[in-house]
Amino acid sequence: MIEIDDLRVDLGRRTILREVNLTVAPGEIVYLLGRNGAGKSTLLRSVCGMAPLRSGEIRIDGAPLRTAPSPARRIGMHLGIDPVHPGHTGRRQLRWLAAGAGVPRSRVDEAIALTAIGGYAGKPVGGYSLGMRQRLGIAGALLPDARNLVFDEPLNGLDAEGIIWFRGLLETLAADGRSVLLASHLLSEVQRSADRVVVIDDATVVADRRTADVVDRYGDLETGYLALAGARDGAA
Amino acid sequence: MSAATAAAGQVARGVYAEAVRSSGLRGVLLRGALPAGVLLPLLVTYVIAFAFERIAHFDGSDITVTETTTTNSVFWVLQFTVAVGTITAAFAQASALRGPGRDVDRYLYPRSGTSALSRWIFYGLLSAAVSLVLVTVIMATLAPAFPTVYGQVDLTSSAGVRFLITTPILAFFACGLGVGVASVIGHPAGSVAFLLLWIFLVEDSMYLVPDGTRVQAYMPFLNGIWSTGQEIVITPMWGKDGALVYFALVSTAAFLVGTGVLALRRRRS
Repeated sequence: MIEIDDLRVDLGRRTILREVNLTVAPGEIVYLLGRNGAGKSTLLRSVCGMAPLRSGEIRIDGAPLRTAPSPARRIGMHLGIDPVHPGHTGRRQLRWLAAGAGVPRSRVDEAIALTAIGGYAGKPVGGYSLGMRQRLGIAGALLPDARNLVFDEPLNGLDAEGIIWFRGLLETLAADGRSVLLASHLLSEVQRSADRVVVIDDATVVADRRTADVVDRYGDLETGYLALAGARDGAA
Repeated sequence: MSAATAAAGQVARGVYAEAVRSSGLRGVLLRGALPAGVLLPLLVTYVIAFAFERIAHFDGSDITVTETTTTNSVFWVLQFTVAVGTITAAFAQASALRGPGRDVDRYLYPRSGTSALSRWIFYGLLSAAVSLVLVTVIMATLAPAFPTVYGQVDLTSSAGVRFLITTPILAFFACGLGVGVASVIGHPAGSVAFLLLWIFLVEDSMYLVPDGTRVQAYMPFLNGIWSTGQEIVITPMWGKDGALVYFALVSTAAFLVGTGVLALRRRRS
């Protein structure tokens, strides 16, 4: 379970997030929606312990992440497609993550199989296409077999088969009772997968609704999102 | 599980992760540290020994070659292996915390100094082990292979034993200094450039500044090399054992300053 209470994050003199309250229950898929720069990625980074909190608290399975002996085993994450070490093969990158997280090496092969990257896992990451990098990043998130998962724009660059595969993966993760928090701009996919949508605007949560309720009220998620975000001018 | 146990576990995982990160066909160990820190000092040592031995055997030559003592036998290991270990540790530290690596470091290790300490331990132990093997091999083979010039080199002499003990200690602490400097500078190329200039230019040319001889006695790497028994022209007032302690203290201080900077950076971004 992911619990965020009254979160505030400042970077330098700028307030990036304020008064953010959010819970992702076990078995729930929650999507963050919002304009570019609204604070979605910072929120996801904060959940993973990467951004300093000015105030508030984030608990993963009931406790702050920093208190976990191995934080990575409590939450899996895929927050970017830029390779950490372009010269590494995909398999070495996963082995490195597994070593740092304290995950058994055997889990690397399982993550490679789950994401179907075996065909290129032995090649340098620097030569991967966008879609291949996304799959490698998703493999990294699945590596620790954590009860909580966070993804930032995981659908960008995936081909049609990849998008369908990821949709199925989310269903499996939720059916397993895992808490999944994502950010995406692909509203058609969000509408298909999300249990809830959380709209972030002006550095705070402006709406937290069940997806079905938004679709019932506005006809589709795109119209609903624009209404909730107050962005009818098309700026989003 | 206590906080100390959890922290120790994270450091141990960090050491293993660094071993995975740096190894492989495209890793910094195989492509950088091995040729520059192992093959180069061996090559230079044996090429010079071969040349001197040949010159010593020239009939009717006016050139005379002085016999080399144990205290001058592993100079190139002290110069290259220790420096390359330092620079490799610095490069690894700075490159690990650039771009997306910075986020992964924060995700894997909640304490800002964990991965830095892991790198010091990994590269320090590796550099210590490699330098121990190199000084052993060189001191054991020079006398039988090149008896005219290197006949006096003796692994079991007091000077030889001092090299065996002090060179790994020097190599270990030098890596801590490298990690500390890289943590402050925060840029791989900048860290490497700074250390290269410092080790091979600044310390050696310090005697050119006013009262330079006295200042040079405080140079950390020169103290470290002098502490092994290697003949160099500095005479710190604290003696050879004191010089090794001095180098260890300077290195540890540099590492601590580096971890302080890392903690500040984490708090700000």
